[in-house]
Amino acid sequence: MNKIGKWLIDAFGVCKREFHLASRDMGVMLFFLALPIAYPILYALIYNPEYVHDVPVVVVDDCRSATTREYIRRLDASQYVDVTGYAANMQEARQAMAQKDCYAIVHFPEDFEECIGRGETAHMPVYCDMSLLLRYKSVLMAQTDVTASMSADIQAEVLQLAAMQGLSAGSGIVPTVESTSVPMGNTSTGLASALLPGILVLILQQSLVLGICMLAAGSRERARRNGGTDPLAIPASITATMTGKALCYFIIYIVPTIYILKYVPMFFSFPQNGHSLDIIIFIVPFLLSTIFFGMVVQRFIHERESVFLLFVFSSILFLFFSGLSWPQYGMNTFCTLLGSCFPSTWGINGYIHIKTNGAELWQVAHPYGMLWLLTAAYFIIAYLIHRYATPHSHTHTHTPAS
Amino acid sequence: MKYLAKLILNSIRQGCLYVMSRPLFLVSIVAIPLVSAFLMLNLMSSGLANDVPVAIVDLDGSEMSRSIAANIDAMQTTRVVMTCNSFGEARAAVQEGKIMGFFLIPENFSSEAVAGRNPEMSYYTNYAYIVPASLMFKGFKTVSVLSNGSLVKATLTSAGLADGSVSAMLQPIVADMHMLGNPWMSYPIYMSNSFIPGILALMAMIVTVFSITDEIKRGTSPMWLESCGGSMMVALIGRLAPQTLLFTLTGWIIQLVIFGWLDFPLHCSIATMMAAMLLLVLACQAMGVIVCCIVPNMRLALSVCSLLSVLAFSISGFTLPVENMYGWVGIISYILPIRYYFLIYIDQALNGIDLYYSRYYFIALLLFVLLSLVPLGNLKRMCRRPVYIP
Repeated sequence: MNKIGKWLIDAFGVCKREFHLASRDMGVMLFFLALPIAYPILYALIYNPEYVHDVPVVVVDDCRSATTREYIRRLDASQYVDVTGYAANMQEARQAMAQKDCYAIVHFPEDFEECIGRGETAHMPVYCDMSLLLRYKSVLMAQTDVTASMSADIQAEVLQLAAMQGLSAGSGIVPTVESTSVPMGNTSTGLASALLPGILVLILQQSLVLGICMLAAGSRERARRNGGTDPLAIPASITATMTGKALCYFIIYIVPTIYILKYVPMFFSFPQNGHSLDIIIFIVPFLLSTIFFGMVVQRFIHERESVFLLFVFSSILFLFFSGLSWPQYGMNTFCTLLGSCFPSTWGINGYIHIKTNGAELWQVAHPYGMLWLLTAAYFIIAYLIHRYATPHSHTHTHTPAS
Repeated sequence: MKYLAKLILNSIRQGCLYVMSRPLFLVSIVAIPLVSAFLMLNLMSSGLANDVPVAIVDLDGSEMSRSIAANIDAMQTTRVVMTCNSFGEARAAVQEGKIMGFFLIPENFSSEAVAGRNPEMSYYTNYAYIVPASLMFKGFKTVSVLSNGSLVKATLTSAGLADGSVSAMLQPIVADMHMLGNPWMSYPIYMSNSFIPGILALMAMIVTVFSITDEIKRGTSPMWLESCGGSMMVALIGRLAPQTLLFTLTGWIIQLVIFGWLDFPLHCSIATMMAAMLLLVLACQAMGVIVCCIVPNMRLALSVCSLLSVLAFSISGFTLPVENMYGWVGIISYILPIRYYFLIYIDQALNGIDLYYSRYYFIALLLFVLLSLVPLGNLKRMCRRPVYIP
């Protein structure tokens, strides 16, 4: 009993000291507080336009008929593209494209209307710049919509004719089936509402790990100046130290987590389904696994500032591994396995399922379980590192710069 | 003049020693960009994320509905992984992430269709994941249009219309999409030339700032400046030139893999892209120097650079075009070197247009280097009286 009591007192002491150290360290506070507060807003402002609208398009109309003019009018009216002008020929249109005055060229061949009149299919080539997929998508959407509406009008005319000739089985009715598309979760189908929820979770992980690494490296620098031991560290067992620190980080992160996961989506009207309680329960192992992941990563950070060199770039990779940009089912086994080692992968997907798709906690049991598994795994690895590869024994050679 | 050359050579020698002094630098300059490139190219090695896992909710169970289900499975973009008995079951599967969307065929679909009562199919796509959602939408839409088409065609043909004119009637206008430069709509082609050089640019900026402010942190900057004859310029050339070489070589290896080995579109001479890479590295280093001059506090300068380079992935218009961002957000993209590299890549390698049209992007990259010379005096003052704030 006495032993447990001492352990608890030690852990509490470590937690208190860590709190003291973190709150007096501007660099760490920048990571722990400023970064989670500012980054989501910056990202949301970048992606807030959600759509690509009014992509400039140039038309080469060799037909110059009523039908092509109607087509161009409808194209211009579409929210996706903006017909900026006519080009006399393809040569001129290509030059406009090279100068980035337009990103797509719509070409009506000379016999366009004739084909329709003859009851044949009229072809029209559309040339689209492929530098950005979203721009291509907008051109495609506009073109598909206008083609469909023009086709429907032409069909109606022809069918009327057919009915008059008594061709359509007497009644004049041609059976059709309708279809509707229903977007789920992210009902606005916007870019921000799809990407941001994932980025929010990633910001939590990255800022937490950066802060933990900087604190640990600071302690290491003090130890180096002090002949091997950090004068500000509280002597305690490894588990007590780890638990105490984890508790400290966890407490610090309660407010940023609630702000990021609850209020930022509210500010910017991102999808807000799912119960807050489910998210709270889900996010606990995410924060814990991230904290212990940070304790493992810190092993490789010897100086406070080298965390920038060794960890900042990883945000991009974690984002890719989460499947937010490139879907998980399209990855090979190696990448799937590697991706499942990071808390962000499970955190991001679980959070999106709850917040965007309105899943309940039992429906995200798999990511939830994996997060607890990662918590245990990283706790053990961090323990082993502290036990057998104590950072202070690492001899770091100070190379005097020049 | 001879003295100056000697100073510069000496400074470069010291710069080489500095880079080799800690494994940290080689890891940051060579290993991180290369490993990231490997991981990202490996991640997207299948080219297009086809075969989106979807479900069918067939409440009709007729021959017509079964053939629609078979068509969905046969589409290139979608793959039916489960059959659900109700809407609720399919919705739960979406929430659990088992499927990305589903296609619902209502009860009595086929009988109502034949009776001419215009029944309605519906397809549900989970837009929480944009790329699969777009692919799935395309597949579902095609199937629904084709289903309607085949029904109309069957009716009209049986009513006596000629086969050819029925087809033309169903599709009076066809737009032939020509996807310039990337007709496969391959995702890696579009991502790898923005995100992979992006990581290299990020590292170039951060390593530059680190290796300059490191001297201030250690308080050795006066000695450093002294050994270079008191010239900030000579000191910087010596410190950064070896890193420029290493970064550029790393960048060229990545380009070699992308354009040479993976055969991604390269409609210009490889020399153009290699020159762009060299300029990108120089511009990023210059950007680092400028940040150092403005904020000579090591941690703050590194924070500013990290902020800029991480935001660069979003703000440089790799996904959302700059012209669609809010004006004051979009304007930031112009101070990011990676944006110009990306534009050069699009013009030259992807679209293969005349070098003339990219002239401003090359000039912009050079401007970074020139601009970095302006505030050097400020940095020199800081180096003379180093103050380290943890």
